[in-house]
Amino acid sequence: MKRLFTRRKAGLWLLVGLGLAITVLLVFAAPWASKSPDSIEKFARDKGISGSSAAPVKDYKVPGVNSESASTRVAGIIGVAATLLAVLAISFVALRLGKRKKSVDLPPGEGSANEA
Amino acid sequence: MHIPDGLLDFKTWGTAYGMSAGAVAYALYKVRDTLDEKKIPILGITAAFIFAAQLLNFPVAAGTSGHFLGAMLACVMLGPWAGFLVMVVVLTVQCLVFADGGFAALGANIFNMALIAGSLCYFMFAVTKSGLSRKFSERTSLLTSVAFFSWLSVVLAATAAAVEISISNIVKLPATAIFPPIIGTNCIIGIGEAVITTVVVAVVLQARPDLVHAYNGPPLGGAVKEEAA
Repeated sequence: MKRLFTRRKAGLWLLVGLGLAITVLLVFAAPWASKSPDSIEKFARDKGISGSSAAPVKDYKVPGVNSESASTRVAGIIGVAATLLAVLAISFVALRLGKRKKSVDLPPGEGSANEA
Repeated sequence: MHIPDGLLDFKTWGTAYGMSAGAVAYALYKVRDTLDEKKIPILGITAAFIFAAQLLNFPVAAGTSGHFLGAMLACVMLGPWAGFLVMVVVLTVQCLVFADGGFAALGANIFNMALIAGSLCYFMFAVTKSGLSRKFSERTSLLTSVAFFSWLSVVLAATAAAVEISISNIVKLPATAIFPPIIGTNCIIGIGEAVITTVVVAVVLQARPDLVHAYNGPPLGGAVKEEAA
């Protein structure tokens, strides 16, 4: 029951793999996306407001990567990884806190995901 | 349609932060007792897909672009509260790591794009879907409702943003100068949203209907034709 790969789960992992592949493709295609501002961003710019807050990878440009398209792709990979890790961390914490605790025996290695 | 900093005043972004924080607490409370261990990979991949899809801005009108939102996709796949939390993670990563959406405006962005476009639209979707399913098959009702409410989710999120900008009154403009440019473009963006969401849900429904939270049809109906039932 606790095995990650069973015949019943094959479809699940196939779907997850497919999703991951599409996600990677989307990140690869990101440099070709439109550079125009979106509706509210354009509205703000037209009114002379440029919301400038500090961030490690501001505007999806990774500091130190010269090529613009490589920079966008690296930023995309960072974002996908951060999103994935955050969701997994929250899920494992929620599982730990939940009433369904008894049905959950986390493998020893995965307990550390709580601190991530 | 992330709101940057500088468009909202303190009372607006503060209130939005409060409401979003309350919604996050409620969502965590709901999810911790209902989260299925087996759904965690789907949770993660949905979040990653939404983040990546949001990178791809497509041109809408002269000098304006739009991108996929994914709030309805998250809620239809994962349920209204797990989907909400997935959107919160995506928006928070965008804000903190990439400065996409202002830090002060994060509460408002969560309110618009996760709570309104996600959970609220999901509940309207669920009511519509169950109404339709009295006359049509579960699959048809679900996909039709997904298409309409994913379009509406984008329009409503944009409307909420326009309301917040309007009541903040920092730009000192009448509502007629705020609402049309913001809502107009998003009516077009919503069409893209509806197409992407419906296609993704239809594909997953075909492969593994048990992974679509909103689907109440026959358990492993991938091989079983619904018409036979």
